Amino acid sequence: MSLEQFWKVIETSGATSSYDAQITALKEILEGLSDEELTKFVESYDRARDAAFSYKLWFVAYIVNGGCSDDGFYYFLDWLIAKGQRAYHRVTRNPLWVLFYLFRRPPDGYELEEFGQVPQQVYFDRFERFPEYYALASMVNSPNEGQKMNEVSPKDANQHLNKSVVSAQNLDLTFQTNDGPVHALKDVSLEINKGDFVSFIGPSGCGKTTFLRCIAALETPTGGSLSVNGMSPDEARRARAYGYVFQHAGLYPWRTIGGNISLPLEIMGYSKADQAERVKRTMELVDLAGFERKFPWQLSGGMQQRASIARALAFDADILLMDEPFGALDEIVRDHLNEQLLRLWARTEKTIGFVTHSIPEAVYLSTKIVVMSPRPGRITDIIESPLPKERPLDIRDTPAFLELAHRVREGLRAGHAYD
Amino acid sequence: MMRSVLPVLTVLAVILGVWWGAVAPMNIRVALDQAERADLVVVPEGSVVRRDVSVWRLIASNTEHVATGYALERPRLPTPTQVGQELWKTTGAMVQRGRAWSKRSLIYHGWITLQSTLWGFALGTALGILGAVAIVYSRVVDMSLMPWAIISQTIPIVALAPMIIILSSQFGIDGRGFPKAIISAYLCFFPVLVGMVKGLRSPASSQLDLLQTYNATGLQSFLKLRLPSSIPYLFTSLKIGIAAALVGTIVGELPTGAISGLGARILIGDQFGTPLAIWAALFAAAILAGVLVTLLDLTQRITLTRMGMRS
Repeated sequence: MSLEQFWKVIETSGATSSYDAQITALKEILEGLSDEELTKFVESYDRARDAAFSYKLWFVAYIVNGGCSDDGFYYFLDWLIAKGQRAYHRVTRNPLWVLFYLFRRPPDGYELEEFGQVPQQVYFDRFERFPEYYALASMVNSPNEGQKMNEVSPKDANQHLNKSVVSAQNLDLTFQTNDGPVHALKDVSLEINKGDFVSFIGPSGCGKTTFLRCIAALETPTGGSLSVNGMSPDEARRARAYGYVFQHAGLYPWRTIGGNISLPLEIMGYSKADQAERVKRTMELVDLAGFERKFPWQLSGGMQQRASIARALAFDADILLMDEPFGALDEIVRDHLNEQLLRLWARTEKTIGFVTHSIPEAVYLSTKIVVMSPRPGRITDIIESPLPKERPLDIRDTPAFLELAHRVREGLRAGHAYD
Repeated sequence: MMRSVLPVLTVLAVILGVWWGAVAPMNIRVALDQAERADLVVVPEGSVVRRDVSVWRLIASNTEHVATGYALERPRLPTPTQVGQELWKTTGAMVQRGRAWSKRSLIYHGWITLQSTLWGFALGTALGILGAVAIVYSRVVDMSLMPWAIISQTIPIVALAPMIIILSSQFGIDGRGFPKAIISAYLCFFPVLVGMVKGLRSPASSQLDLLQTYNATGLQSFLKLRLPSSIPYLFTSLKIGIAAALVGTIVGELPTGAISGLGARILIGDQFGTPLAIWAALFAAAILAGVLVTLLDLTQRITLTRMGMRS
């Protein structure tokens, strides 16, 4: 995108928007830059755009900071992180929030309180009502034709921009048992990028759950390196970087559904009002609105599992780790939940790690399928899914889907000697 | 409801029937002695001679005196009605005469026993819960405390009770209430300890993992997970514990020369040869235990329903 284009958008937005004041302010910031700085802004923008782990965040950083390359971006990040975790998440999800944190007041026509408390969906709707911002964001989000991802050096992408959310290199995990050592994981290397939906599939004992537990810092690898969000898994756990969904919903029978979902929020010390708002929002997200006061035994297995997903989503972690979440449910409920999970993933843009036994489930859900095999637990194949992001249930009858399933099955067979 | 009434009544009738039937052979010798003293015809004559004759033969040859055995003043085995009458005489009738707190009233003695029981129960429960928490959270405590807890329950409480009373008087505690509470706490802490250890360890490992993913502190996981999941176990233990505490108090009153309390009534009844008093005190103790356990059961139901866990 050229500077002219950028200005054009800024210019045309002024007349129709009720965000006039903010836009003028942003323009002033940009106009205050020297020619040299502006050039630097445009150059650094083009260079870094594709590698940015969040386009939106880069975009916001440029506006706020006058686009001063990587240093400027990190200055912005520091500033944002200093505003608190909540501010960070809001701005990553929707750049408009930066206005709130920049000016500490809502856009014209909105009360401060309302602006701070609107549920996300309502906010998205508002966002769409101001097409100029939407256009701006989508222009920034769509990669420039002709410039490919691989033109950005991996060093830029990984070291500075931290695009890879989970990075495992030559990971080993050996359990010492009475019957001698058990190699649960051997030489596992994998990159999970932001926004990926990664399925781990394989027979029992292939280490798929163990790998997930390593990411969650519930197991400690005995060799190799593993980083989550650029931190060690344990640091990531302490920073509450992920939500974990177990095979069994594991809701507390003595808490209502609402109470169960607010459990992590209570532990993390959110305010009562914030808890209530988040419980409401996440329950809507998993289609459980209205069941807040029911006890777990009053809900079906599928609904309980949805509640446990809501519980993992409530505190806005960017990563969602799911260990055979639908394994105990029947086929029809499972299909339904798979469909819902995809929709939820599209809406929340989370990075999801998903352990499963089922080939159709893995193929239907994933952008990346990791096929694993046992004794020792290792990766035999990593398949990037060519399927589109929009996936109706009947995509499972298309040749592309069947071909993919076939490849997964082959991978499973290759890694599994039936002796 | 109606369907369960019939079996319950049948069992009750069988118990009362067996009891009633046993009165005749148990009391026949005393009845014959009494009849002989009243110059009635008794076969064979002389209590020394009758000692070698079986009770069944005595019943068969003295059918007219069997009825006397059902109305003795100091029977070997009183009839259910006699026990009921004695109970009424020492409770309800005393209340009617406004003498509920007289030294002869079982209400007074029951109250003395109940006080010690409740103190002992509170003390034992507190100790049991604290011990269980320590055991669950520390392997060292588990290995060092648990064997002693088990050994403590193998020592006969009857042997230990006088020593506790002597020791507590050595420490300058004169009242009987305190040592009795100690004895009942001693009996009651063990079921609570064992039940709570099981209860606090009941959460599945995935539940604990979940809290770890939230980076919860030890106190948080105790208050939010371990404690609530131990509540059903706690109530089961409490019901055993309160019965044990009552037994402990009564045992504490028995061999120690106490003059008030249900245990003392039993002892005095034995010493003065008034079996009716013993039986009445026994039933009073049983009724007291029943009431306490029922109260706990009700509390359990209410608590668990409130917590959303239907039992």
